[in-house]
Amino acid sequence: MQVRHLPHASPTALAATATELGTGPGEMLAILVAEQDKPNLDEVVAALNETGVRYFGALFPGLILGNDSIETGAIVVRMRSAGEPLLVRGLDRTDFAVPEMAGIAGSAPGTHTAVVLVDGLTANVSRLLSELFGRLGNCVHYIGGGAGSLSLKQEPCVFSRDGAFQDAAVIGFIPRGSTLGVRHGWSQFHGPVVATRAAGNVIYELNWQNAFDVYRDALQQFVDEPITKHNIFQITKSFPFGIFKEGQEDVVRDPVAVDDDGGLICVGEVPENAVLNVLNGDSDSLIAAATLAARDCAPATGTVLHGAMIVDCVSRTIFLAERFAEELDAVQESLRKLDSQIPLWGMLSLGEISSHGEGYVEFFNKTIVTAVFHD
Amino acid sequence: MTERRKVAGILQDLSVLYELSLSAGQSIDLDENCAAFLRTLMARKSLDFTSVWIRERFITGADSDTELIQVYANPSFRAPMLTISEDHPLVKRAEEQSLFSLAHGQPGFEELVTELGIDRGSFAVFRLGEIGILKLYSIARRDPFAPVELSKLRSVVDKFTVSLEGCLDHARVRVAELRRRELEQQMLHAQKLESLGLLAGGVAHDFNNLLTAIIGSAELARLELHGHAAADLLENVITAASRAAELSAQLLAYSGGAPLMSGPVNLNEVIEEMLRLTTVSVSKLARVTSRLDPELPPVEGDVGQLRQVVMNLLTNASEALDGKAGDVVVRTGVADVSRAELGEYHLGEDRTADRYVFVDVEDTGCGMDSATQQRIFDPFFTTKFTGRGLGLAALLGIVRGHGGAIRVRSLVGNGSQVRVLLPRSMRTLPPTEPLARPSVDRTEEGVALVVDDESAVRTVLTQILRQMGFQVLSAADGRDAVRVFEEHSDEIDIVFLDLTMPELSGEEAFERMLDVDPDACVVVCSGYSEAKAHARFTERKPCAFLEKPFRIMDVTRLVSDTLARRRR
Repeated sequence: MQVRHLPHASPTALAATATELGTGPGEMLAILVAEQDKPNLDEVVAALNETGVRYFGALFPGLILGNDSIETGAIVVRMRSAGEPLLVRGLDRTDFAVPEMAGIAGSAPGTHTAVVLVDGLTANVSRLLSELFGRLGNCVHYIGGGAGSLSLKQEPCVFSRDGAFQDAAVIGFIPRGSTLGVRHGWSQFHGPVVATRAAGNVIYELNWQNAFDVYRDALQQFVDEPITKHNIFQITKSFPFGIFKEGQEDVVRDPVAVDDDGGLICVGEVPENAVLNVLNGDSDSLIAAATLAARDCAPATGTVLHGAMIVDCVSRTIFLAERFAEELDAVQESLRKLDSQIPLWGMLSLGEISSHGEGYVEFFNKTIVTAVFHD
Repeated sequence: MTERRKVAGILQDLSVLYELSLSAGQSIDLDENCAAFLRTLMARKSLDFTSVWIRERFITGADSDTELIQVYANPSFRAPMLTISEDHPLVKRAEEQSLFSLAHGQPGFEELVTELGIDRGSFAVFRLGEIGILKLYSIARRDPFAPVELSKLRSVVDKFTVSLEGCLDHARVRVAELRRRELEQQMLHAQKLESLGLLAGGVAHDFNNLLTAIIGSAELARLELHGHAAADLLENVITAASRAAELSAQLLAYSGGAPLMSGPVNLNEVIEEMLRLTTVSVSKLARVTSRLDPELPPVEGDVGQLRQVVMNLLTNASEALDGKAGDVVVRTGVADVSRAELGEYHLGEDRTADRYVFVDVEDTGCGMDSATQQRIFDPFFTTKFTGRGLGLAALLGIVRGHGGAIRVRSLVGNGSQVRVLLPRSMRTLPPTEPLARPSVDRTEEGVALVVDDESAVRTVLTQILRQMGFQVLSAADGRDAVRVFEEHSDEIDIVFLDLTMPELSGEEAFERMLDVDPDACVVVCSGYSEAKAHARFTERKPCAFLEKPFRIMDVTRLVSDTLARRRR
């Protein structure tokens, strides 16, 4: 894998880098753009289409290169490709269509890795992943994350040669194996509560009462400032929900906003009647989890490594603040033990995607996902 | 384990069971119900595969089971087998144990595998009451699911089973409802066609009365204007009106009706005759060949209508070539047609398995898509720019009337084959006799009575008969006709009697005339087909039938033949 960082993500600069890197047969570019540059994605697509390269990409709150988090510019990665990147649109509805993935389905387990970049604020990410897993199963390992803006205002954020879209996903298939690590470091703090009325990514009721009221009443005693609909994001950064998953860490759901009726808007779906616990963690537990995630993705000895990808939830940067650098240091340290020259790149995301080894693929929040690509 | 951890564990279990319990039965749709329950189960229990197998009788309504059908599998890529037999070890074992688990390496594990890529992990299997089996799989487990774990899930799986029974019942009711609606649609369609048939017949009848006046008047006028320039114009009127009469005949044929005047017909002769006649009308680029079975038995039918069937088949085959070179092949033969084969035929559901005479007309033309094939027999459906859409509808009417059936096989770009089945006649063909063709100029003597409520028809017929030498009496309705006949029964040699009239119908007038003179020579005239007209007379039959519209030649020939027959 060849990785380039651009300090400024203008259409011209992206097109120039794409041309410089180029894509031969069986290659593609993954383009991760930082939101702070506010590039016009339609112009980016137009400029990239001029170059003739095969590419897919998305806009994220931040980027990761080595052990640095970057708020501007873009990362362009040339990688092997198993075909044209897939575009799935209409994820705001449940009847979206996933195109055929001929040539990948039925291949040997773990021989491909799917890099999934999805609008993190759309409603049916888990359903999309379920569709993908239903068709491709464990012949593909999955890593990816939710794209979009930290302002949580939904707008077009994923792109391919077909254009820039919201409520959509772009998926690049790499014909290489990968080992994955998924950890978050949060633990059960309060609960359980039941999501007695929920649809898509909104919890309307907890324990048969207004969701926001229940959440506020449960946590007010643990925070100094009064919990309101306006400061909810400041509260939930420390107290997300966890959905039980046997034998693994709870799947975290991050309520990021409150709607007019007191519904808690989460990043990712919460099934109706799911039993939730409020989670809490501290900087040490989160950094320790990140270290474990990096260790988990160590492949068998003797394999040739081609690169490592990190998808880290943007809310962890807010929660860890100045200690976030320690998280990235810990991850880099673990991964560089595998290969001191391994290219290490990734993004700060609105939700994280990973399969557990050869198991089911999930959409997480407040989690760090790491992958090492190998032969 | 501390008491607090124990309590937390119990709370955790109850939480999962609570959520699972509410996820079962969320939908009456089988697939949605399975998905809602099993996706939750997979998510909470970290499972990698689930599938549901249902006994065949609960899905198809069969009386007994030979296999189980997989109705849900997630992820689907692991599940290539869609059915397993009742003898499969998985089924046998589930019959013996309502719930069990086996891990890779344990005896019997391999026998349970119906999925792809299973070379480790652990299965849990639940018998779903009488209806089937639920299979769970975890790739990460090295040991079987613990008995206590299976017992915990048992209660929610039982609830899931009940919800599945509800879904299956719902599906059966829905299928029955769909079937009922389908039958209703078929009945409505049949009623629609019947109504159209009645309408077509009525229109044709009235149309024929008008055409009788037009053609007859034009012919008489042409005789009067012999040698005059206007005679050519009248010839045009006669030609155009004759074409209109053909269209009217198509409408009558579509309206159907059993050909009561049927007799044994040599279909090969009809085809050869029509091949000669259609050399002008079929495309010059069409290579028309016939392969006729020399041993073909006669069919029971109306020779005129069978000519129309062959004509329509040949015309359609020729037009399917779309102006390009191609082949049209006509075949005849005899085939044993089973009940199942009749399922492929239009009208096949009304026929019995038997040995039928068939005529095939095959072309190498443009073919038809399935949507077109479904509609080609609908009246007024046509793919031709100038077509009226009555040819094949009329053909279907004729075949219905003959107790036959039609099958169409066609592929777009690969031509079409139409096969018409007709019942064999049990009678032998009569020896062919040359028809006596009396001269048109022959002068008759005697008295004729013309009865028709249409004055134009009355006038035309009266003039023709007068020119033949008859004295002509006339009546405008049935009651008047009976009165005139009673007054002149000794003088009247022949009566031309319309069927559809006010006051007294043609049939009633006929009966009263024959009451007066049982030997009266009554020729029935009608704008309906001969078969339909004859069907209205049950015991005493008219001595001849004159179909409207008619030409002068038709009248003179009919009169001569009828009177000659009576004189013999």
